[in-house]
Amino acid sequence: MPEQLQPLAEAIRERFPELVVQAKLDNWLEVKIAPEQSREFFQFVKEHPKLAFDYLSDVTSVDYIQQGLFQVVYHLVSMGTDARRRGKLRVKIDVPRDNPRVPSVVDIWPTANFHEREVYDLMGIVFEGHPDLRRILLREDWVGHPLRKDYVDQRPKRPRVTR
Amino acid sequence: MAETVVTSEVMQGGPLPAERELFVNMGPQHPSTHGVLRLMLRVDGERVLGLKPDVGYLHRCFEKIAERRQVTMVIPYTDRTDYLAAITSEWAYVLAAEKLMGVEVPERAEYIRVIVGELQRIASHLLWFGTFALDLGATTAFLYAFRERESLFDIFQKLTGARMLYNYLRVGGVRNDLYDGFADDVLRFLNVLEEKLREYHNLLTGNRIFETRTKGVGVVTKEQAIAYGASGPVLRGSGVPHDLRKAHPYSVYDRFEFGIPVGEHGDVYSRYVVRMQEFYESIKIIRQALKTIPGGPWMGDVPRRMKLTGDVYTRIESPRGEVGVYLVGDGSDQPYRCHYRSPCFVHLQLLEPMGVGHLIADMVAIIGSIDIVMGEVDR
Repeated sequence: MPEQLQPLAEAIRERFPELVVQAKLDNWLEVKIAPEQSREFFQFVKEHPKLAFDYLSDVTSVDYIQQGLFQVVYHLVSMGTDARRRGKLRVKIDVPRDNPRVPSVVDIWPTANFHEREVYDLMGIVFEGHPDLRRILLREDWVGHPLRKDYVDQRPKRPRVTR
Repeated sequence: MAETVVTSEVMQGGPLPAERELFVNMGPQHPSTHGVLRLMLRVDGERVLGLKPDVGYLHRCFEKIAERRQVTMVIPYTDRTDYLAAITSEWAYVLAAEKLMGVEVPERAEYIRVIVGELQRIASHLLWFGTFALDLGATTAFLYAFRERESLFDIFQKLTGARMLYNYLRVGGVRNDLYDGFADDVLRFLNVLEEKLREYHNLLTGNRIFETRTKGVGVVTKEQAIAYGASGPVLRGSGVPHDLRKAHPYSVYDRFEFGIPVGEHGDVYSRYVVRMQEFYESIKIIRQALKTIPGGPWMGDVPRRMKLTGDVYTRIESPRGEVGVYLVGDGSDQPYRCHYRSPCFVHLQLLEPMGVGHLIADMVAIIGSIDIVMGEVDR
């Protein structure tokens, strides 16, 4: 593990010893958590003075249909600390495809609002506690979640006109 | 039917609108919303009481399409996300693919990318300047800015073949080398630009009407900016000295000396000042890069059959802020998942805290100060 990431990984393991914290490509720390510990974990990494992950860059999702799960991926960056301690953290949460529910983090990072709406819109993952969970990119009457690997367009086929 | 849907969304389960309150649609067809953006406004006369952005009118399924294209074939699609800063849009994606494949980019290609990227920043800011001033009523600025953009388009066309959507960056480098005379063309342009910037400042900066319309309007505090995920000039306008080219340098940006303009008050005027200053910083970078650019190949060693494995999230500093690409590979030559984090998408959330309490005319200034490109918001 690169030197600058060591203290961050230790700080996380001190509080959550059961979590596996890895160092990945491009100096990203990566940790996988359960949906139940999500809120506690996020509150912790935001407020801990050594971690100070006050900036949520992105919330996105991946459909691992082969394994029967969705993965919600958060990318956190530390903004308020000095450059030497600036860490980057990726948090992954696996949820079953048949009941994808994750706690919302809008009250921790307000920027999550639109990100979570987009994930809900395109992947169909429900963010519990989101103040306004509705579609954002697609029309409000759209059926289905297009980014899913098994998505089939439900709209009636129009007859092809050649002349 | 549409009416009930919209009203209930705006009211969010609250009481029915009072007699003084009016629901007004700003967009999606509107000369000042910069693209197909719809703002659902709750107004009392001209004063904005509540605001909800409605986006998705330009959604073209970029992320789904990327899952069915080979690595290089995705690049023209990335051009069309932030179409006013196509180079930086491509760069974020190409950087992610290179990291996943472990491809090294030769030095010359990195320098070319920096030069072209900064030229792109200038082009994008010129357009922002022109349209921002136009929205506020200063029509001349628009024509001046587009005159400069034409010179840039000529340079880009000679280099890449296209005026606006270049398809120029490749995994491992760039598509072709600089043409003979590129440095002369660019340096000549930069000299002209410096003169013209004086003209632009004469038009707007210090203009009493401009200052009244922009100072104290659309304020974002430092804490708000960080909490709402702001980046780029919106973040720097609020006093946070964060620029990805300095904080997490990519490519060869750590070899150049340039400053990060930071605003003081977080209002529309501060963001204006930041972007105007960024012109000069970009000029500095380009001049340094042209002086020290090495020879050599412009394309690295890339396997014929590309294979993406693992996942990575790369972030670059586009003229609008932090563009991120989360790329997941499954061992094939097509991305398994390609997510594009758009800075303008995130900034739209700031419209409500910035706009409530202001007049509709101020909304125009605020939208202009965020520099929205709907292609990036909707993908």
